[in-house]
Amino acid sequence: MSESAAAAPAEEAVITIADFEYQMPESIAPGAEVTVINEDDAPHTVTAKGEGEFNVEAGPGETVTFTAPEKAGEYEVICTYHPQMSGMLVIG
Amino acid sequence: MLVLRILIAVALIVSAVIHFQLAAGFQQAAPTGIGGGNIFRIQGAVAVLAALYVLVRGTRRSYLLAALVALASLAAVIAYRYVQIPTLGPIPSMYEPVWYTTKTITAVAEALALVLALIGYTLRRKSHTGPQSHVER
Repeated sequence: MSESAAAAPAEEAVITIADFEYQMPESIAPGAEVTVINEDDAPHTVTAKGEGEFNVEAGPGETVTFTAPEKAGEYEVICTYHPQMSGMLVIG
Repeated sequence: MLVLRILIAVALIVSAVIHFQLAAGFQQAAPTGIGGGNIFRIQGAVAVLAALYVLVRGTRRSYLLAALVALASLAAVIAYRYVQIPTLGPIPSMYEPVWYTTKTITAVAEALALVLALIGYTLRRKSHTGPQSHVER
């Protein structure tokens, strides 16, 4: 799963979480369905910091999806369970 | 008493194995001070030593040590689940407001180890203060 995520072109919209780190695609199309693959033994969230455009939880080993915001821009992503985790999701 | 010692050792080793498994991620998640991962590794090492001690010796002291290790681990997992404890010297903030399978297994194993170790300690204490001790005197 991680190989396909690592090699995924941006339009596949896959975020992989491994070792408490987000592996983001370069960019995601507005309104695209985003797949989140959590490879860790702990749960994580993919949460937009600030205005709450998206917030999805992925349990240990789970794959979940959410819809990317329609508005283009850079969204700071955090895990609400692990404050040290952060990343940048580029929509556009 | 051997069964009790084995159960305590197994419970402590379950907790240790899970801590070792989660260590790399928690070093990343809580890197300040000595790091969350290193604290997990220390917990794992201490739990394994306590497990071996109670398994091999089965003395009151070994039960007491097992109980203390289990209590400290259980208190930490519950505290960091519900309380946003800040960084304390070299100990990073490891607040994680969620329960999940491995964490729950760890907490149950530690609680089990604590109860069984206290039972073992009490039984050993009784055997020392019972009729045999009068004979010894």
